[in-house]
Amino acid sequence: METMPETNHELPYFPFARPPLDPPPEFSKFQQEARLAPVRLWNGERAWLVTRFDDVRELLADSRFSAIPSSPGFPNVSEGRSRLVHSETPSLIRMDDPDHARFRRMVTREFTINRITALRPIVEAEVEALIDKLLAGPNPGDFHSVFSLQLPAVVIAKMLGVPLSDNDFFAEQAAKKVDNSLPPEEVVEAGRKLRAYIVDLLHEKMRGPEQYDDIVGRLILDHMQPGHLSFEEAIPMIELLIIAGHETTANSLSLGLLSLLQHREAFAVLRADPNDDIVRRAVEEMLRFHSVVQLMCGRVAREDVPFAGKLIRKGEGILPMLNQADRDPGRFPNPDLFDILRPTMTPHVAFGFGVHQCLGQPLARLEMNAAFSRIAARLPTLELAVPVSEIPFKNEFSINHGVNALPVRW
Amino acid sequence: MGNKLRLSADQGRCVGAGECVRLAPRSFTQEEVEGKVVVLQEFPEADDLDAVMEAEGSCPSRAIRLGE
Repeated sequence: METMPETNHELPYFPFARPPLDPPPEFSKFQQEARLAPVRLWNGERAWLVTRFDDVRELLADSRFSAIPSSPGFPNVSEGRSRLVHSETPSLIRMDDPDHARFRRMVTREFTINRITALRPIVEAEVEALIDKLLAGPNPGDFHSVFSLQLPAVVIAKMLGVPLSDNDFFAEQAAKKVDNSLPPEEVVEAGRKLRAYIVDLLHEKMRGPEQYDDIVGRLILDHMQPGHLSFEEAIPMIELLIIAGHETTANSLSLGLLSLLQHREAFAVLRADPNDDIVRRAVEEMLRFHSVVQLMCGRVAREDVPFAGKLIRKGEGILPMLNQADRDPGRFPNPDLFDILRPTMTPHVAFGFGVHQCLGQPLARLEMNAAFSRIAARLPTLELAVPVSEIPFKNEFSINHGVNALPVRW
Repeated sequence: MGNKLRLSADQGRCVGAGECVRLAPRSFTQEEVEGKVVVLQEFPEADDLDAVMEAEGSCPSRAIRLGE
């Protein structure tokens, strides 16, 4: 069976530069020509790229591939990332089962469909308040900072029971932690600051956890006090809950709106009757089309694994490209077309797959559905205030694709 | 129809992502302690089969089985 090439001089360097609204053009070439494409990382190490939909799902569902980024050979995508994962206690997304399952089980109940559905009035009220704020501000205004970055931050702060006044602090540190273009020291320092904050938060709530009707209070009462979860273990878990839904949802909102405003006919359909069904279709298409997580789901083989027609050797890194998987023509006809009226709503991998699939996806979906339902109803004249070429997009080094601002007028 | 397909789910594998409840809410729910899958229809109605099959295919931890 074919294996990784011995020399890497001629291998392409990863990550690849990308156009703002599509995955790197090389990805679709890989997808057509080979199920596995060898690439070279920042440190000269090699890894396999996976771009086909079925292969990405199979990889992420296979426990012979590890998610532990401090393992030898794990494809960390930048020096900052590498230093971070070697210096911090990992959160559950960087563990394998059974450790991962032990921690995930402690918080799954907070994100069940029923629990999240019950939050709908709170999320809708927040959406209304943020639209009010946008309308009260300058026109044109920045949708990304006024709306997209705020909505997920405010909602998760309420769920966790952290003061809303600290949201700007979280946003800044969370953004730095996922920016692979920053100097490594800054990435590590952002992580340190976030965790120091959580230590203080835990100390405060541990003085009387029963008075807090929130996730942190329940973690203390139900898992820390009985001895299932140590203080040290609780820190990365709470940090993960704070930051995981922050930039991901914010960028999905802004890129989703951008696509909607570029496709006026789609926006017109939504405006004419923003019912739950059409909004849901539009949101799923936004999630599929943009699949914002571009650098997070790397794995390393724990043993020699025959996979996608090759032999992945123990210790070799492998990187599933969720965004290209969601443009697989074998799964989605006309995949590069943004079409909110696709005849079938085929499930995508924007939230990943396997045991690590996004825990907060019902929340992200609720936030996006509430947002676009009210945007369609309340902002019928919304349009981009600058040409797409002038929008400041994130680049290929960012863990999540997205924008740094989205100027709109109404 | 005499030979109805039987629906089962493995709570040991389930990671509580809630895909099944979202895609086939008449056939699945989640229990409230760990968010694990609970099958509501051991033999789903014909009208629900498409949704159940989609849930089976989309389950991230492959915890759902629809079979004889």
